[in-house]
Amino acid sequence: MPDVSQSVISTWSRLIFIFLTFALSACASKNSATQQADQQQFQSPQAKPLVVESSKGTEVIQPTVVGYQPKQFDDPLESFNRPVFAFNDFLYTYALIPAAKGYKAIMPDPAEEAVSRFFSNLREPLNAINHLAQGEGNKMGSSILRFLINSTIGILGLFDPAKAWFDIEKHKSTLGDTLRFYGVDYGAFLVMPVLGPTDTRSGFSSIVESFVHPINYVTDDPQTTYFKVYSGFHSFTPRAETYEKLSEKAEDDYLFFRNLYLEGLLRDQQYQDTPNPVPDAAMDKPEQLDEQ
Amino acid sequence: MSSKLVKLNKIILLVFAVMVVVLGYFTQQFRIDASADTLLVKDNKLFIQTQVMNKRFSPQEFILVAYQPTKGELFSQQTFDDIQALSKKFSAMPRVQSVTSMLNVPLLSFMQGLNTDVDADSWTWEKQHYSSAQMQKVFTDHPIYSDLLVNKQQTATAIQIVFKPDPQLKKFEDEKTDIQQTLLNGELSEQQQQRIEQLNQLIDPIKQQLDKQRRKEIDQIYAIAKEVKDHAHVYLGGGHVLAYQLIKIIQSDLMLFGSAIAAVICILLFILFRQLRWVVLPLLCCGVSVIMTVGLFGMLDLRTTVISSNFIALQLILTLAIVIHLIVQFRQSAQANPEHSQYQLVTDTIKAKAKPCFYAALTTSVGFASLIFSNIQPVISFGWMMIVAMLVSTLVALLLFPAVLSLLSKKPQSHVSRRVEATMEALANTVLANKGKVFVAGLLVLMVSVLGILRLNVENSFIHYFSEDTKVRTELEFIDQKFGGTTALDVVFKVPDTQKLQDLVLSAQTVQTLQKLQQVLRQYPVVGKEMSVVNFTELASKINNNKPLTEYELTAVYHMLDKNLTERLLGAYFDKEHHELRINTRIKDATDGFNRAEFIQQLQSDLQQQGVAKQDIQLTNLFVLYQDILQRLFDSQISTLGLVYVALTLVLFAIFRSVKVAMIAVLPNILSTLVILGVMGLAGISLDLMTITIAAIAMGIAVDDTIHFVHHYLSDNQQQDHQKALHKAYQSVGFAMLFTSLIIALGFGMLGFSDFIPSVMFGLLTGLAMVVALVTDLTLLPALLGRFAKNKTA
Repeated sequence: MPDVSQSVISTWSRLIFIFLTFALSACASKNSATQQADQQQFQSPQAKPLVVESSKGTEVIQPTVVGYQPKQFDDPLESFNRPVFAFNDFLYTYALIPAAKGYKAIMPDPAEEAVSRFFSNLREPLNAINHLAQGEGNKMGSSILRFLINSTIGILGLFDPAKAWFDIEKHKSTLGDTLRFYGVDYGAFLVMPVLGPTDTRSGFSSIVESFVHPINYVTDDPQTTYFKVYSGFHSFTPRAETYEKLSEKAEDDYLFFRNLYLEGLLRDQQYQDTPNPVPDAAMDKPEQLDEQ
Repeated sequence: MSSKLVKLNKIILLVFAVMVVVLGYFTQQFRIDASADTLLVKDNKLFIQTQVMNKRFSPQEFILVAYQPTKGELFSQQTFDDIQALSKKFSAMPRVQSVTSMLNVPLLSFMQGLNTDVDADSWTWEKQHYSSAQMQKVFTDHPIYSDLLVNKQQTATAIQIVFKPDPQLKKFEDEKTDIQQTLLNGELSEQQQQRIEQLNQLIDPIKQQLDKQRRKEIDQIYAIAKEVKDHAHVYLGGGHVLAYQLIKIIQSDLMLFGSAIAAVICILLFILFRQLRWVVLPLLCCGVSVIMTVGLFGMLDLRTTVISSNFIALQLILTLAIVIHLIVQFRQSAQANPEHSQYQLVTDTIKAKAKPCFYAALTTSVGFASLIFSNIQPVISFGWMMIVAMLVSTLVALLLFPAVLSLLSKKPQSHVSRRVEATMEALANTVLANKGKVFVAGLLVLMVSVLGILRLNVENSFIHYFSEDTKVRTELEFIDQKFGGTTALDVVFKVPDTQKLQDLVLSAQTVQTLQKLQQVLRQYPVVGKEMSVVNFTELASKINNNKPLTEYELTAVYHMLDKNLTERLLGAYFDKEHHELRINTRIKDATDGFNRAEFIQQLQSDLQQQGVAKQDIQLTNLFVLYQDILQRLFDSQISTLGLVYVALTLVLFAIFRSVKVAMIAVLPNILSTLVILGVMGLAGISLDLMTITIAAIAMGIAVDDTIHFVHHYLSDNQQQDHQKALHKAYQSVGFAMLFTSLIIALGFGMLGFSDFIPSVMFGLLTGLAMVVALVTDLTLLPALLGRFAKNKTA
């Protein structure tokens, strides 16, 4: 089983690396409190409410599209990120995208959705823990209930009767969210091998979560690894086409994906208190192993 | 010479018969052109800009069919069934490209979160059969469909029938626009001019065919819509429906009121003159004049536009006026010389009247000719048309009338009513005894008129052309007021270079600027539905859990959506190549007390307040075009009016060879035109495309009366004392004027009963012009003549 050990080694090296960068960035951001950072982003001229003054009076409206200043895209890890990005690009172009296309072609849509629901259900305990850590009692409760209902009536989470019959909403929460809750900055933009764009806080979160993921307690290696790889691949498939098309259009695709990621992050930070946050299937988020 | 002409009566009759037949044939080629472009100056920049924008964004031709359930909820199975049935039938029409309704549009708000990997067409009612409650929720304040497919009040839903463009027409028009575009920065070369002429030749028949086709289609749509009349009111809306209704009402008005006016005129002629010949002869002259003129226009391909559409009415008035002057003269000759033969009487009449009639025709023509300098195409052609019409009428009255009359047997002519004679005498005495008072009164009227003129404004609400209680008005007003407005107004925003960012389709700054511009538009209650890229970003942000998109996400979504879909959704609002964004709005045309000029000005200043450079914003499309053309017409009317007065004075001088007489004669004409405009200003009647020529018409009517009166006075003044000459003019010309005014004012007064407001206005204002001309020519003119033109050499 050479590939299993390889995957374990790569996971470990990644973990160490991410931990280091995370620690670094955490130090760096300690001086500037998160609130201040938020304030700054809020002050970005393209992320403020719009003031419309006319002969009819003054109105304040919410922008439908926001942008952030280029200087906020500090990229201290660029010299590391760029080679990894190039490697990913190669990997995606010649392996993952063709594979994803094949996978999508074979899998019927309902089956694909069921698989997504299965993985999503599997991380409900993690959601519950993170909600607990953030003091969100109700959300913790609903995560636990969803896990119980969907794992049983919903046949191992392949279906979602918790939402369909009991109207219990899904509230995803990761370690990254918890860290943010406690004022940890996102750190720096980071391109992870295979997984793609993320930031040091989320990267750290995904690594840690992949170790404490419930799957670890259900199966043994190598099945656990197979599951994780499959889950990662499954969550990549909808993004395959996106990646292909967008990198074709962009002049510097590294910059494009970085800005796409960071603007989304800054936006989410600014608008975190919107009601009913549902995990988005958009392409701006790094899809971690256990994203669904 | 007059006797020679009368001798030739049979030949003249023959010539006229031939001309009527020949020109009658050409009447088939006569065309009414009601399209907007006919109203424009050839090099109107605004028009070219609008054409350029239309080419760039190629908005499609469509008709809205609004469905309002008579009872029960809008979102119900009944509605869904009806909409499905109607849509299916509309789709089957050959020129229909697509039929959009609430049942077949993608309802992306049902998606959970933003997702580019979307097959938009799977999120429709037709595919998913959402419940009524779900549909209601989705359409509540929908950023795109609200007021487009379901009105804000949720009382009605609309089916949008989109028509296929004619590829050939589009090709020709695009080429024409490309050539005309050079006009924005310079002149056209000879070659380009020629090419445009060629293109016009090619475009014209296609357009005519298309117009016919459209009318048929609208009839068909009305017929289909009738099938659901048990459950719902169905209203049609859109520019083409408006045009269809306008043409329909004008046609029915022509039939109904044309005959009513003719009947009233006949009756009045008979009452006044008591002989059948005095009814038949004027009608014959009018008929022959109109047929010949229309035939000539057909032959020369002079098309009537909205502006000149009343030329027939005008020609009738002018012909009648001349003929009545002739009749009165003939009857007076017959009474004075009962021993003369019919033939001799006719010769006498023509001898006495040929000159003034010819002069009147000349002055009226000169008056209308001054319109040629107005620089506005339809006004210019109106000028030409009236010159032709005047010429024809004069020829008919001076040749055909005596020719026919000389062939009739002599009949004793009764004396005109003693009572009328006494009244006329009393009037003459009063006026001549109180010249000073008449002048003061004239001055007062002038001052009040000027006050009124200062309050004159131009407004053009096509919906207000229809009477309030008519079905058409209700229908059009429903779409206008409850379904997002009628007349298109576009705001085109050119993205400045500073807002363009690498890799981004649109920067956040650009979208936000657009959002601000659109918000300004939303602040105006007269602005109905507005659509732009902003509506899509609003929807996207709504789907994205009310979080705004980032500019990179927007770019990603733009690239990820199917190319056809982006073209379909955004093509009409975003031109990537030229970096231009278009906000398309429909203005609520029927809003009460809507001041268009003020609105445009205010809007422009409000838009520029949003941190946008002046040259980066353009207002285009029909709304601005109409307003612009109307304003130009108004300005040109006012400026040509001055020119008309000068030209009139010169012609009057040429005729009467006296500066004094020319000045005296022109005054009543000036007063008449000013009074008409003043009354409009005081009564709050706005000038619009239909009434804008009223000043010219008033002048045409007044000048006739003036010339006859002055001519009569001067020719008598040679032999008699001026007081007597004035009294004689009263008794002779005064009669004719009184009769003409009475007949025409009452005849055209019939139009007051029309459902078509411009007809009503035209009828009443023409009547008023007749009366005002009569009054000024019977009071101010004689008073002036009596005071200032006493000596015989004058």
